Amino acid sequence: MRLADLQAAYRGYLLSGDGAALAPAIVVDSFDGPERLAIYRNNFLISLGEALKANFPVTLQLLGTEFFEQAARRFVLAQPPQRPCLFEYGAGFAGYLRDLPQLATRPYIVDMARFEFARIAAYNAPVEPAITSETLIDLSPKQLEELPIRRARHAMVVTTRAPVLALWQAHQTAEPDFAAIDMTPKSQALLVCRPDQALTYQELDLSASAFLLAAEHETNLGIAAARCGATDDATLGRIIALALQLRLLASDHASAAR
Amino acid sequence: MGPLPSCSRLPIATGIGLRAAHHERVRGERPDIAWLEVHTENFLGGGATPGMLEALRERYAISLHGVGLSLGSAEGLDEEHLARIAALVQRLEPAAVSDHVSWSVTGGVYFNDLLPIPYDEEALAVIVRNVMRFQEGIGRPVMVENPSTYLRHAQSDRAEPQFLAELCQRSGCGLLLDVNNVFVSTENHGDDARAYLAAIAHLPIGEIHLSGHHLRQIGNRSIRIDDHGSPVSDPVWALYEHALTLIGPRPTLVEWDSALPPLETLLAEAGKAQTRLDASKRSAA
Repeated sequence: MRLADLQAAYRGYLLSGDGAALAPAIVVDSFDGPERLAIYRNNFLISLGEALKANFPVTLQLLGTEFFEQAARRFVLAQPPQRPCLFEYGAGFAGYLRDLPQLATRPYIVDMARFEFARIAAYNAPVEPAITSETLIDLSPKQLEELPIRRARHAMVVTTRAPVLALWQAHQTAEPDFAAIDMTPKSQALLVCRPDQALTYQELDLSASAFLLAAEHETNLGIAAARCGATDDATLGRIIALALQLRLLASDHASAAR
Repeated sequence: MGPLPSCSRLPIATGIGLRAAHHERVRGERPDIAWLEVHTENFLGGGATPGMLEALRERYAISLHGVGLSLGSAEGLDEEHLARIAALVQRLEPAAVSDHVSWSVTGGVYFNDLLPIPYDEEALAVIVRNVMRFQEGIGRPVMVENPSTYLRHAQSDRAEPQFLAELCQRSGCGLLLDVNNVFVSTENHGDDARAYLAAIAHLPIGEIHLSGHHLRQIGNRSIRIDDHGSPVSDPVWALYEHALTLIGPRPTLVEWDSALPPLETLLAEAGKAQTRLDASKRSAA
């Protein structure tokens, strides 16, 4: 069998469990082909299940090990990794959990998975030049309005109706006091970012979250400001100050705007 | 027996595999160990982890050991992945760079496993081409690790040692000799581990790996599974000692990935390897 065909047969087997096409390529001795192949499929499923446990530790605690492992196994088969690094794996896990009927009454677990993947993404985001106060200081009002901006890749915004941050923080303690957490649904936007070496979290007000969501893809400062509904200079000034403090904005063309 | 090949600038001493659970302690306590090996793919993000390796590099030699480049893939290497590795290699200037004689990627799916390749001419040509591209991409020779295998392909027409010898000869790469993998594979296939070592002893071996495995019962039969989750077994220690007599002292790593023990346990295991390595050095002197 040509190597490409053999590897395609492995792919089919690993994802489906049907080894009919692959078994003839395997030497039979004290074990038959399916028995030997099953070792590799088992390794594949376990290793990626462990990777998901590492990326979603609080989601694991909320779901319980047995439920998590079953969900992870099905997710791995439905959405196997399409990138080489395990810290990049699991972008679709929250969406997968959202569609499970067992979680319909516990949407906060889905939001926890979104929050935890935002943490991983923020932590591993590439370092990129940020817009600083020096970038802005000499700009005219027109240049300021036209300044190209993009939300830095380490700056993640998680919108939720659950007290995700409080829950996550409680799970970081040895004796969490879950009774103290108000589980009443309330819309909020959480900023997860890595301005330097460590992750930081904070709740955003509506204007700030709208501004950062508007800057997800490259835009300019004037457009993002208009979309966030900041009707006064003080609100916009506060958002810009936060962005400068936490290095939330990158600009691929900052010098061109000057 | 001879000097280290150019693919390895590691000190001839023992190192440990550095895993996330031990990052903080190693960073803070700087334990007495000669070198550290990390899984390359865990450090390709832009966060604090590459910076941590930069800081550790001042104290330890660093080895980048890849688990995801899929050198045996018929479709060739993921060039974006290779470029990220090249950038990390350039940033860290590690003492060694390695990956595996296996594959894990096909049709856009990354299986995160070290899947076996057949030992035939086509697979040899593929992996030689990929290893040469790897070396070209990072601008230096690499080592490839012999795998633990649980099956054989019917189309294989040569033994693993011969395949490895041809791979090293044609691509110019070195061999990372995993002694536990030699034991696991030869036991699983009814081969002679010492004959295996004799057949590869002349290759440019720049590093040795040691780790644990377990025996899995399937009905009334058993198979050895390489899990990096337990101490090095007595037969593997014996095989390691034999390997040192054949090839001479080599940089030696204790790997532990699953059921990770306290750092002290890992360092003690490395100490056992160092004792044997010291004896080998005395014999070679």
